[in-house]
Amino acid sequence: MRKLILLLLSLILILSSCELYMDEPEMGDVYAIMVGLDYKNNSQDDLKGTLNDVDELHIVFGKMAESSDSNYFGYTFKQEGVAYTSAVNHSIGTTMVNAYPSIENIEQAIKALVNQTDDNDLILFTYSGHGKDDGTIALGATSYSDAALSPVQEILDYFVDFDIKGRKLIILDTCFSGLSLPENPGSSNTVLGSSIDDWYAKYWENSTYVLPDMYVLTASADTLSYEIDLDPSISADHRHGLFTAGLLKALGWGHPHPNPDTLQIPPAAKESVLTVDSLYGYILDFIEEHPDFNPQWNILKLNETKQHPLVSGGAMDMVLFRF
Amino acid sequence: MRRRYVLLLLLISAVFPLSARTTGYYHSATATASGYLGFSHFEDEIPARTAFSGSAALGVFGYQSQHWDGSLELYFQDASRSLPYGLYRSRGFTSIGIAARSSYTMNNKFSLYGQAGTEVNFYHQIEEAFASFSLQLGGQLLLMENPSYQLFMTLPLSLHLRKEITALQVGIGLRYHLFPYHEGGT
Repeated sequence: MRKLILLLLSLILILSSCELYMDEPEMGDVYAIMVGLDYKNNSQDDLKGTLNDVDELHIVFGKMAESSDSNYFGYTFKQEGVAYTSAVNHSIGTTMVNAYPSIENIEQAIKALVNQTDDNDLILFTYSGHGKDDGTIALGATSYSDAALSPVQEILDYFVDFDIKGRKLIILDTCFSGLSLPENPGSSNTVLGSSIDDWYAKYWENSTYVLPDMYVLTASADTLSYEIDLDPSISADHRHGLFTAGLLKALGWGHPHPNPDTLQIPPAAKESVLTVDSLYGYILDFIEEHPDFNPQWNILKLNETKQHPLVSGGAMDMVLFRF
Repeated sequence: MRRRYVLLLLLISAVFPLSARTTGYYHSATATASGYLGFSHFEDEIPARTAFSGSAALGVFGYQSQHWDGSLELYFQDASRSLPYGLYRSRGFTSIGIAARSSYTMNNKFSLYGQAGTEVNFYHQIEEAFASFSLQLGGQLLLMENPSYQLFMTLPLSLHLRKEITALQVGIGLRYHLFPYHEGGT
């Protein structure tokens, strides 16, 4: 009996220090595909902050990669003004892709990552634009009357179907983006509505959790999401998606813009590690600090909803950058 | 300074005189600190991830006889996220659950106990919840008692049965019994 207890205690001691004696995997390269549209070339409402989102995320992700000693490969896909194509062509691996954010070009850009990335790389995909409550987003139109709606799921499927290696973070700054959150086999989202019955049902459900290599971070749950003017004092305003403004602040960016070379460890990092959760927590606090976009609970306005970001993932959090 | 410790010891001894056997209905409160070793059911970077947890339990209704004791417990637990390692970390969570607990007194000082329960858990940072079950076995050492109170040191070994992780917890705690009807006692 005494031997058994000693054996058990030794086993626990050895296993509980796995983190101390096993070699940590290296962080890989960082790839980013950033999409933004102002909708001036079709009939949808113009958005003023989306192109700023793309431009500034490109700078900040580049600096984050540099600060964590990773190589950075960033590609911006912008629909700007009335044109239906872009003057920019990206060379992704061996593929040339036009930077106009049509669904075909986005598909091509993701496909071009095949054989470029490995398991330790980080692939970021961001989208700033319109989204609908049927789980679609509005990509680059081919004519004024073209709404160019594509299901978010189609884009998520590209990463799976093309077998893109690496950890992926899909960031969606659009209305109703939470409706595109992948369902987790182990746990249920409480913002989108679930009860104790669902939690127990999921426990017994015949589904298996696998360590996710794709996380989805969304600007809202099942509601609208908003833009914010970060510089309302002057006539030429500086807009961003409220969610992306929080994301940029979490990464150490702001308005007026700091010198990119001064960006160090971002404020959202904890113990010099930036994870999906630390980023999400920071953005959540940032949005709650803006009551204009988040009506406070009021007994007279019980049905009033607020912009509430969401994140997928279940039992595990994913490391984005180590500094 | 030493006099202060002696006084404190005398005070505790007066409140909890030793070797008084207590039986009857009781309420209880337990606090435990544990290491939380999570073995994932999926392919992870390491065999087990280490976290820490603290728990508190309130025994709503318990009955203790000379050798056996049973209690219904409402408990709370908070588990931290795992230690930093690799490209992932397990998420921390807070739990609330109910359990049935029973113990058998081996001698005047020591008893063995078992506990089975179920709980709902809420991740700290994200808004997701999940259900789980737990089993606990342990020893408890009677530190002090009088006809109205008992104080134990507990050494629990627990299994937290989650869908995607099974966690082994080893801890140390304190358990307090309050006998409101002052039954028994010698």
